[in-house]
Amino acid sequence: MTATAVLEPTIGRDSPPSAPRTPSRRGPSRRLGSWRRRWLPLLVLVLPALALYGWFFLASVGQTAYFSFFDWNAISTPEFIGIDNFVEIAQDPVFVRALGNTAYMTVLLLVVQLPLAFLLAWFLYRRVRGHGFLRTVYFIPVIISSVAVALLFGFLYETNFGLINTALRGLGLGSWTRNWLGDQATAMTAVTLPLVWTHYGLMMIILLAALQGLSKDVLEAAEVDGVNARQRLWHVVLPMIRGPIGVCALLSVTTAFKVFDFVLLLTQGGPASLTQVTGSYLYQAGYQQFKYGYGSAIATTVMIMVALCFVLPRLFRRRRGEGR
Amino acid sequence: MHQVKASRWLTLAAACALGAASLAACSTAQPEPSDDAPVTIRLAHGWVGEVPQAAAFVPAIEDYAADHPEIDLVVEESAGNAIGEKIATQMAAGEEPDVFLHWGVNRSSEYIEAGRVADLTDLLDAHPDVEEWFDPASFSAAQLDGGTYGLPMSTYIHMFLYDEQAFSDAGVGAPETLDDLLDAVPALAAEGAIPLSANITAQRYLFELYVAQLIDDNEELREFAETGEGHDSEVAEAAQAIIDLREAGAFPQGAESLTTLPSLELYNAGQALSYYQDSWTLGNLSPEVADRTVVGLAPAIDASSDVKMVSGSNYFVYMSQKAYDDPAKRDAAWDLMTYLAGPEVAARLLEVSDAPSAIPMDELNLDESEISSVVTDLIEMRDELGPDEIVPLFEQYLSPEALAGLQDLAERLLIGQVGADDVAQAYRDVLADAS
Amino acid sequence: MRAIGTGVRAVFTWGMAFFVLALLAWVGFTAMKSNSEIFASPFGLPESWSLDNFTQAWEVGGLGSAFVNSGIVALLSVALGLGLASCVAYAVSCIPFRGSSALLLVFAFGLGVPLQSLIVPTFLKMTDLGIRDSIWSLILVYAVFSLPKAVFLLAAFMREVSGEIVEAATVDGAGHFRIFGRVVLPLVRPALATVGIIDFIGAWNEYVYASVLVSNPGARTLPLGLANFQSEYASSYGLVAAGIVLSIVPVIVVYIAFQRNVVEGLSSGALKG
Repeated sequence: MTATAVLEPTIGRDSPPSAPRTPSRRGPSRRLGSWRRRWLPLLVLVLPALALYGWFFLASVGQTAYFSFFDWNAISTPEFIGIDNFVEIAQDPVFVRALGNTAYMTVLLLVVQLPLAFLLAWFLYRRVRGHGFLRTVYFIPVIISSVAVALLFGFLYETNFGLINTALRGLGLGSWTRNWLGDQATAMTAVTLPLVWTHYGLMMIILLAALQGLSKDVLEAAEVDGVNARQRLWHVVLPMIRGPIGVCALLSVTTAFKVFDFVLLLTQGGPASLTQVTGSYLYQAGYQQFKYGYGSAIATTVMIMVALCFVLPRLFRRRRGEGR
Repeated sequence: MHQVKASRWLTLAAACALGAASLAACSTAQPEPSDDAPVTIRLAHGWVGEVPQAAAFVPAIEDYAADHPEIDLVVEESAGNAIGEKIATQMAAGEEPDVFLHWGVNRSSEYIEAGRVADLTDLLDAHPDVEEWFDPASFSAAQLDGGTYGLPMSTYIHMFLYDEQAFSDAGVGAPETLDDLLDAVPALAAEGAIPLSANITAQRYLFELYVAQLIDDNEELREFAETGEGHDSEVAEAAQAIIDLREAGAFPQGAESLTTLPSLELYNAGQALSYYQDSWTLGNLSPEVADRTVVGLAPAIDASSDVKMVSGSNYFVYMSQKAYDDPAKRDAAWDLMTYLAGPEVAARLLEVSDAPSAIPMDELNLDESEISSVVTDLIEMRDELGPDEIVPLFEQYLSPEALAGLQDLAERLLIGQVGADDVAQAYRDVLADAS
Repeated sequence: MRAIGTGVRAVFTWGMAFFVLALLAWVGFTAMKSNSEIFASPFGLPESWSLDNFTQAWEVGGLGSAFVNSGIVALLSVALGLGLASCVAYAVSCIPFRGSSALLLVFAFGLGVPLQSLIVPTFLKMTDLGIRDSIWSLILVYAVFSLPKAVFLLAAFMREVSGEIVEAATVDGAGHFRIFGRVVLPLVRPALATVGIIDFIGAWNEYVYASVLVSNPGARTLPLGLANFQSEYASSYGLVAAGIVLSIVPVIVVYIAFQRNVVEGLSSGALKG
């Protein structure tokens, strides 16, 4: 089950093979086949949410997509310019850089944050000493508002009197001090670190909940079979929670494409767009530079890209003949 | 079971209805509007929180509200730059405030051109006393196509502050030219101090000062600002000067992410020995350091140039066209605006927040004992200069898009992405993109 | 071998905890120092354990009423959002119908939308509804904007619920409402708590929409109070640190109290099998 498999709802993982997914066959659906028993609950459960969601969210998204085709400063009359905004985006060096930075951020989140979150979740699950206290501690960064975290890390990174450089000087490693937020080599990593710090707790909690939902029987069986700890982890546990890991991966990717407040608060995307990411660029274009049509076009592009991340693996999988 | 359920739902529904009804009743329980109903005026500003002007401005507004029960004053505050974005959103939705503080044309031209800001020319003609408070030049950044749209709220003076004691300890006299400063840097930096605390914005200000000094003519400067033509060598020289300063180690490390007030803190804490910035930060100068501080003119790039100092007005109070079109609101808004921009509040801003106003000092009723010597020295220094010796920041003449492009260009120059010789052409490109 | 494993494990877990606790302690100490002291000895203990910065931060930030507003907004938006999301998640994962895949996709699509691009349309809608400058606009916005993530996560967890249990319930003649309320919801309680906490934190810390939609100080939420210390104008680091501490501590307290309920739910044993 890959990340995109989570998009295919089923009744339950362990449902017997004879329980099909289409109606009018054997299985629970037949018992619940009548209109009242199936469609009424469906409407009642789904309609309110869908109505609010459609009105407040989807309609707004539609408006944003609509304005992508206009040259508009948000105040005077919009001017229709077709796909000019998108053409400009494709040629915009700042956008290309923002995309690269966002990709780097995504990689960091997937390669550093996710394994970290999983390991911590695993250790907590295995009830390492002090796990109750530790779980609270790991979650604390999630609770802190992004403004506060940005201020905190800003002070860490400050070149002249910030914590990191002061500590380095104190340890006699003065030559290691850097302009963390301004040096091309370190800036993007420095800007991503607050995101990792606030996010791994979230991923950890999701994975922990997933681990706690695992069937203990299978795990005990594996132990009895003489599988050692590492093999059990790698070959038994990980595959069992592949779904939630996929969920976390997806959440990480979407977060990276949308994040903007850390960047804006720490570096304003600078210097000279060095640390610009897609989320902050669209915000600046729309709300600080009066290029609302262009900003909307960037937002639309981001949405399409994320949607592709959803859809492509699924199409690819189907073509390989797996599933369904 | 079903009966219990049904009655439970009924009770819930009845409770909701009752709740809703009482809420509705509450909101209509207010007295019917009479002819003397207060006029509601929405005021939006960013002088709140840790901003130095807040200490004087917020109480001044409260006093006004207390003195004017006929005006229902609704105040929207968002510290510093955030108010700009908030107003932008409100403008987009047609919900702009009635009176608001904002930067000059280089940030508000879009609103003015869209007809959302009221032209105050008629009001000023009807109230000549208001117009006379201010130096006529201070309106220029709020003027567009013959109309005047704002009342000046403050004056910016770009100031060079230095710690006299620390300089003489390092064996350095007051730097009067750029070369003086460059020569002084090694001695100043010897003790591990930062010679000049100037963040990336201040470095851009210095660059604009140097361009102005080399062009040495106000009219030509404006023309250059609008076209970018004709002064390539001056621009290259000014750009090179900043690079030289940077490479000599005059500026703080990490200036790119150093924001304005923290750069003053470096000076306050004695970590930097001099400071170059806009005067609105003066209110945060610590008293201990103020005693050791001397106010000077920025080290000039060309000692023979007439231009000595950058100063102007780029922060105004505006009235929305919506408020202007409503006669009752217009009068109330005008009354509020003239209070906020007027001598009484200006005096408070000067006394409490060390913020120079656009009204000359001798026209204010000041309590001399309250004013810090630094701001007095600064204003006196400016007043002693002739009109040829003071220039505004040339970025005042730009459109918002061009301004953003210039800021980006300056950043690229300062981190070495653009060479000094290429700046002039890059600036022309910025102007071309923005039109 | 095992001792080494446990040792490494302990170092790792407590090392991670150290990063969090050390930073928090440092913020706490910094909050009790003046600027010059911070520059002089950033790591040392404060000279005087002064609470001045805290009182000033409280006043400057208007934190008293901001706390109350944030609390109301967060609680109500979580209640609404979680309620709606769990209904949809159940429908999508446990009721077989032809459009279920598409419906999930519709909600999951929202995950890829940069919320900051929806500011102006949302502003307009709230103004049309007449609730813009009040906490109700925030409650509605947070609840609806939380739906993509909540539906996505809850659906993922509900799907893991054993089909046999659902089968057994339907054999017993239970309709979907009862299965939802009596069977599935209790089984996914840890997920509900998890998503609830995530939504709560999101609503509690949200800054952009709060600053744009709400103007009157009476309806201000906590991040707006804290924003008075925001970067460009944050020159007193002690004040900033005090503001951070004041905004975190109550949330930690609430989280610790709430967390116990999660632990109880987890150990209730309903997840076996």
